[in-house]
Amino acid sequence: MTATLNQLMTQDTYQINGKTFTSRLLVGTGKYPTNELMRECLEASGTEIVTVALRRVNLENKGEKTLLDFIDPKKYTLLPNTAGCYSAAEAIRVAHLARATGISDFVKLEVLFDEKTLLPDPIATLEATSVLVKEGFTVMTYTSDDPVMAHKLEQAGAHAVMPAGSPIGSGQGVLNPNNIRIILEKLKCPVLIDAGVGSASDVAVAMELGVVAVLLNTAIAHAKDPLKMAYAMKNACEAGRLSYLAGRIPKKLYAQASTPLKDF
Amino acid sequence: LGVRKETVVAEVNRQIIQMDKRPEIKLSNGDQIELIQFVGGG
Repeated sequence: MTATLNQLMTQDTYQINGKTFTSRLLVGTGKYPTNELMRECLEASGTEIVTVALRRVNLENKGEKTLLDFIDPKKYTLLPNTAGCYSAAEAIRVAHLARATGISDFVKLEVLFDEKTLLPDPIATLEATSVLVKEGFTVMTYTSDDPVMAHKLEQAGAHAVMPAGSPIGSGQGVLNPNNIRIILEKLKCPVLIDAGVGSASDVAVAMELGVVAVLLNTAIAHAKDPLKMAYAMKNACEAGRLSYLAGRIPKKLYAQASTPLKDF
Repeated sequence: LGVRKETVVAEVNRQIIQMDKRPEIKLSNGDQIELIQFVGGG
C-alpha cells in the first residue's frame, strides 16, 4: 500500500542520546509578543523539543505566571540553553542549574565570544562540551559551520553538533551550504542547523542538505504573524526532509525535454 | 516570597541546593541567595 504523508513523517524518527523524536523542528521560546501566542506557535510548529533559558527570579514580579505555566514539560523535551555565557565555567554553571530543576538533563551549550557577532568561542565551547559530557548531560553544542570544529566537538562526545546557518537572529539562512555538506559527510552524530534561518524556504534548504533537524526562534517569534510562520516552518521542514529522502535530480546545464520529441 | 518552589532553583553562596535538601538548609547573615527560573530563550 502507498504510504500516506502522515505515515512517512511519523515513521521517520531520529535519536539524540537514545531519546527518539519525530518532529525535526526545534523551536525557541524567546521574544514572542505574549506567552499565549508562544504556546500556540509551539503547538502549530509540531515541535517536540523547545529551548529555554535560565534567569534570576524577579521578586517584584511575584505571583506572575512563569514560562512553565505555558509549556508542559511532559509534552515537550526542554532544552535549556547557556545563552549569555562567555566562558566555559559560566556555561557549566548554568547547565548545572538547569539540571537541578529536575526537568531535563539536556543542554544546548553555547559559549559566546562577543555580543556583537554572537559567534561561539570555539576553545571554550570544546572545553565545556568535554566537561558536560563526562558529567552525564545530553549535550547539543552550538558551533560555527567550521567542519574541523564540528569534528572536534563530536570527538569530545557531543550528542549533537549544531552549526549556525548564519549569525543568531540574523535571518540570513544557510550561508555556506558546502561547509554543512562537509560536516555531514564527516560526522556520525546528529547534525542540526541552529540559528540564522529567517523563512520557510531557509528551513527547507537546510533540511534538503540532510541535517537531522533545524532549531529556530526569532524567525517565528518576530514574524509579522508568528502563528502563520509556525505553520509555514512545520510544512517547510517536512517538505525539505521529504525532498532530501526523495533525492533531487541533478542540476544540468542544458534543457531536458519532459515531453517526447519524436513520433508525431 | 511568593514564588512557587517547584519552578525555581536555589543557590546559596554559589552552591546549588538540590530540591530535597532545601528543608535542611540553615541560612546565616550575609549568605548570598540566588533564585533562578526558566524564561523564554532560543
